[in-house]
Amino acid sequence: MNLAEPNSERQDRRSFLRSVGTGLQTTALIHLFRNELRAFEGKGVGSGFDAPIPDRPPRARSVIHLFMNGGPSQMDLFDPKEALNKHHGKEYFNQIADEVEFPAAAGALMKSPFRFQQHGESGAWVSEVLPCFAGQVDQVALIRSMYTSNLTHEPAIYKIHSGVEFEGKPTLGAWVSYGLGSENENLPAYVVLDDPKGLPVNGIDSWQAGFLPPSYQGVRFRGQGTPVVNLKKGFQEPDAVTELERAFLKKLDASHARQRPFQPQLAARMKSYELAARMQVEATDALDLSRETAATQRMYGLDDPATESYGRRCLIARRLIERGVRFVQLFIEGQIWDNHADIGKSLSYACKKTDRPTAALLADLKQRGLWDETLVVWGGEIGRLPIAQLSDDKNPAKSGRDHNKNAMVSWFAGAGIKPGISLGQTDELGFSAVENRVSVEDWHATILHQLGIHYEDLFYERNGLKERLTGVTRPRVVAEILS
Amino acid sequence: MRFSFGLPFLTLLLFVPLSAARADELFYESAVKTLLDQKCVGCHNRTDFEGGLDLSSPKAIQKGGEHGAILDDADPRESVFLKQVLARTMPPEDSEQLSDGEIRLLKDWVSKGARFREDAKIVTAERIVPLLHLRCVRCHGASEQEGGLDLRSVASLLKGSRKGPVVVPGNSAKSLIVQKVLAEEMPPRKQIVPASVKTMTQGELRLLREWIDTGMKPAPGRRPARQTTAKELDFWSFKTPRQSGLPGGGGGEAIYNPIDQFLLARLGERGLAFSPQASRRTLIRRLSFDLTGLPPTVGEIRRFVEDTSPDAYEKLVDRLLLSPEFGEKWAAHWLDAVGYADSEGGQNEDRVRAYMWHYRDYVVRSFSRDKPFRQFLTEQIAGDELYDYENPEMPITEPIFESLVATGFLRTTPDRTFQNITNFVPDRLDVIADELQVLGSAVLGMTFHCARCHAHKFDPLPQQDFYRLSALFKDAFDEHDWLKPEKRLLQLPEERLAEDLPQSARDAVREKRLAIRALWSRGRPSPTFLLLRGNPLTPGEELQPGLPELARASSAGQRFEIRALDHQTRKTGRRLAFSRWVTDPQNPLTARVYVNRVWQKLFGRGIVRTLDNFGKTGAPPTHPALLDWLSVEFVKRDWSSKQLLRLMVTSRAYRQQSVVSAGARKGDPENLLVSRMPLKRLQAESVRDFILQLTLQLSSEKSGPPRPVKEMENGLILSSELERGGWARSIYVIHRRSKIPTLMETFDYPQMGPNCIARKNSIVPQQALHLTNNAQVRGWCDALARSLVLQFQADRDAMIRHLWESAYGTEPRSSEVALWREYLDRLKQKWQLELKDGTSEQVLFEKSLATLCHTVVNSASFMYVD
Repeated sequence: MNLAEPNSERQDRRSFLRSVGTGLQTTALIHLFRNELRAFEGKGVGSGFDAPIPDRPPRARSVIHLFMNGGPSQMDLFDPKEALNKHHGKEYFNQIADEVEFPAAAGALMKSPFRFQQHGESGAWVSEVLPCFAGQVDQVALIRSMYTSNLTHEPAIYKIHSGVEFEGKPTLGAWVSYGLGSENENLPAYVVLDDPKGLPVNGIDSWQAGFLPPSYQGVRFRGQGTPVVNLKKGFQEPDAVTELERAFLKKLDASHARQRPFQPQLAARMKSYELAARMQVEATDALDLSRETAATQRMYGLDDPATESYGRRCLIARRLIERGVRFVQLFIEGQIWDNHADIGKSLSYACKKTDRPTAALLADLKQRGLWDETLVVWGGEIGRLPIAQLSDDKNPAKSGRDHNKNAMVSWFAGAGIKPGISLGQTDELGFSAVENRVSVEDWHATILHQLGIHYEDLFYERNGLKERLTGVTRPRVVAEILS
Repeated sequence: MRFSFGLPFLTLLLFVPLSAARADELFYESAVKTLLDQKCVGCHNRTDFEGGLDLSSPKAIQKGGEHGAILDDADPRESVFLKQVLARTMPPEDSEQLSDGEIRLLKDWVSKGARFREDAKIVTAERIVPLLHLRCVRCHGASEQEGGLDLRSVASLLKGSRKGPVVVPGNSAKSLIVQKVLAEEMPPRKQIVPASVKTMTQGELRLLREWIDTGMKPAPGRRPARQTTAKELDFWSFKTPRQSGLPGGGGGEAIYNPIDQFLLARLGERGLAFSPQASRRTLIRRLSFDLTGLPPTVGEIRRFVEDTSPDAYEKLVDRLLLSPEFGEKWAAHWLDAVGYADSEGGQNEDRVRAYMWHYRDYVVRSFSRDKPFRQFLTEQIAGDELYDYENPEMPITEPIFESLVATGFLRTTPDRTFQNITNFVPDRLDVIADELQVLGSAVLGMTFHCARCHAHKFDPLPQQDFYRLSALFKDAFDEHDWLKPEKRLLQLPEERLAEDLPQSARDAVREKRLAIRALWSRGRPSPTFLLLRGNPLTPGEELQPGLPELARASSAGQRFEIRALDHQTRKTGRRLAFSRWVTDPQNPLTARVYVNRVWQKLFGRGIVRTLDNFGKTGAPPTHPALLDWLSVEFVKRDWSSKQLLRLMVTSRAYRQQSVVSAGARKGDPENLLVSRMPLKRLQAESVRDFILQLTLQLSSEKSGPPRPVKEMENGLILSSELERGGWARSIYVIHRRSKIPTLMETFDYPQMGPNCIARKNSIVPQQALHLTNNAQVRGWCDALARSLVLQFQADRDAMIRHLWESAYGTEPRSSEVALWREYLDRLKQKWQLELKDGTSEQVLFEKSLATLCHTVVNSASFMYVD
């Protein structure tokens, strides 16, 4: 392989990526150091690495994934069901007994406690609990016909993030950073903003690199305090000592490397120490929201205790995207959308927390000219059932909804997305997607497509298999929502 | 579609029942035949028979392809035929495609039941027995027989329940079993999740009725299986390795043992030779890390450097092989390969596997005692079948205890079945597939798991292989008779325990908490059915336990024989028979795969680069004769890991420098020819253990329950200090999937999914951030500074020399000592500017020294092994 004279940027990246490999001796710093590594001579050891190069112009440069863990209720948010009003209170459990997580608490069909109204020019139905989002509904493409394969949180969360129902496989963000890298070498390609109130179900597994090199896993940035684990010194030491140590270490390592020519990992390691130092500055800067105007802070809801936390993360997401981070993923406290009980209250709480910041993010991306290069994706891991889940005292006012794998909602917005459309139908009760069904694999393929990657081209060879995010399936790109 | 109550709504939505379709008469003969003849029969006919499939007649279509039916009777949507059509994978790209209208026609036809005017299809027991297993045996089977009814076989079905017969052959309407399902009484709806069993679909019920109505036809005789051809089996890794003669040629002094001869022969062809022999200091550091995972002490280095005897190196090798740390280091390699973890994973709770650590200790003991690899494998695959341990007369002696603990090998993978809602048959099949993937990748270097859903595309692994293999394990891994994780504990009767158990086990007995996480035969395996596309809803033919087809390429396969074991509980002996094949000296894969992996741990890459794939898609060996010579030698030397390692590390090849010369770089850029040793970064465990050892914090505590970790508020996971002070070696720290110490995770400790055959070797800024900023690391350095001051008082040069030597293994030049001395002075000045004037000289010095220690831990000379 000739690395010396690349004839085009793309060709160079392709040969570079192929040459790096994931062999035992090789570094896997593609996204952080690709420019520096390009200078290395000789081939990397090992192959099995065959990251794709977009073979079509990508529509999106970055992705913000607003992950709504818990399973937002489709028939209480975006998919109103007249039949539920009509048949409210009728028994239906026996018809769907296989599909209920808590059979003992299963009640009758239950209408939505919320009012719906049509909004915008598109006339999309939005529940009263999402007043701010209703104002943005003309900007998004709503998918009402998604479904998944397991009705339990853990397998369904593994599935939505990594394509399979168990741990150990790379997540969507890891695949994307493996395929495309970051545009800012001082920041990771894949950043996770989880809720300080606690990790979601499956914890850190939701942003693992699986069998890909660990450098592709999501790096957690915290909205408050030290943004990254170990980013700041955990002990007292004068800055002058730190600087002296850094300089002396560099000297020692340079001398070590000089005595060992043609060992590229030594130079890469020295670079990683420099990057660590730069990251301390750049990550701190990206998270410094005091640089935003008061108006912007208000817009995201930083002035309201209910929206402050999620608003902060939405605003940080925008700042990271601006700085060239490829994939930003937002999580939210525990299983906030898992409204088994008192859906009137619990769903309102989740909406209150996220509605204003989410709408602000969309408006802000638009006004800053980031709209056409940023793909925003919203959705959870499952949907919910048309029947009630009863409380212990069987008080109907306290009913919630149990899990449902047969229907769930998601929306896309921004880069290359057709605004103001609603795709797909569920049956009359909202139990199952029946028209234009979109699988999790389809959903993955569509996100990759917007980044310019064909799902089939993104693979990693392991144990005799070309492993892919979409596995051995043949998903379809949901072309109906693309502009 | 209009919504109305009283109809089984869901069913109506998902697949149109036959009754609804009768109205429109869409038959094969009416439109489908013409289409198939035109677009499919070109390849799928009586003579070309692509995929064993003939689509030219109703009878042939209903017979299906080489893996069974292509039309699913119970759920048309699951039909292989329809899936291929809808995915547009058939007809293949280069043939004339189906139009949208034609696809719609086929979809219509299949979803309305794929009807033929000339109906040749007969439902037999082959379709019904797996159906009863999937839906009924949970309560009417091996572990429970509700109402006295056992539905595991046609014979037991005919026996009926305590109250009488449940089927009336020829009349399904009068059959109690059908009535119960129709009345939605079976399974009881509220029991569905607690019992982890789903209801019968309408399509399945229709099949059951048809079978009863047509007189309950028995299963057809076995289909003639397509045999793998001799040509397909003609592949190097399927044949028993042989030692051919050693290559001739020069080499002279550079030949310490035959390994060198093989390597030099190839190097010589390119005009290359080994790089010069490494210095003694380099050798002892390399050897210590490779064999024990820890560096040599300053005393050990000096003794070796000063040893003038001709066999000084060999003595060193033997000492290290005998050290207890050897067992720990090489156990860790094996635990990676089997995917060891101290927790279940799969669910958020990540429940701790409380007694798994006995298996970890067993692996450490086995490597320490150099248990023959053959025995080691046999115990792990079939330890419970080796002894009649249930016999009340039989004392549980050490070998029996070890064999039972060893079966933990098949209990390592992530497992979500401890909760009812994730304990359905598909969840269990995932667990079994993971275990077989571990077995395939770690022991046999074959990708058997690919055949779970389809025949292997490149290797002669028909789909039957996967299910024959599953059947070998069915006595213990039975998706229809499942033990949830908490039920997999073997409680050993205290009165039968012999005196010679390992110490940690005796401690457990004393504390009344001896249980082991094990796998055992239960003597009542369900039948095994091939699952089309791996889907339990579409069972195919029944298969008997047996070896994969490729076993026919060597003589080991011919000796395979399953003999039932007349133990206290009768056992099938299937796994024992399988383990005999795996460990047969003539087995073509076992020794090669292991030897290759051992080689990779030392030389940085395998002779076969794809350590887990010796099939046709794997990499060919760079030195086939060497691999075979080593494999045969290994078997000859009683499968001794220590002898194998000794052979490798005493070669001249292993004693080379890691320096890359200009010539070697040009002639052997990727080091495929082993023209030098690789420069290796420390593995995750060694990074942590070395820092602890250097800073005098490494505890000598070994074995027993895993040592805890703590999770900090910011998400950092730290190993905890032991009650008796110090920190345990990494192998003894709890390996909870969700809580791997950040330091180890950052340095590529793997996420076991389900196992890890070769570690990654990443370089990421998080590593630098952890080593430079983490308070625990710094605390260890502070402790080292204090002890250096105690030991050397004011003799700074001696102190520096000692620190250098214990961290890097080499001796510093005097200019280097001066450089560090000067660094210490400048550090002191910086500290002085910061601290108040009153700070004593002593404190200032100790602080500077701590920073120096910290710098050392961060330096490349510390982190890399030449």
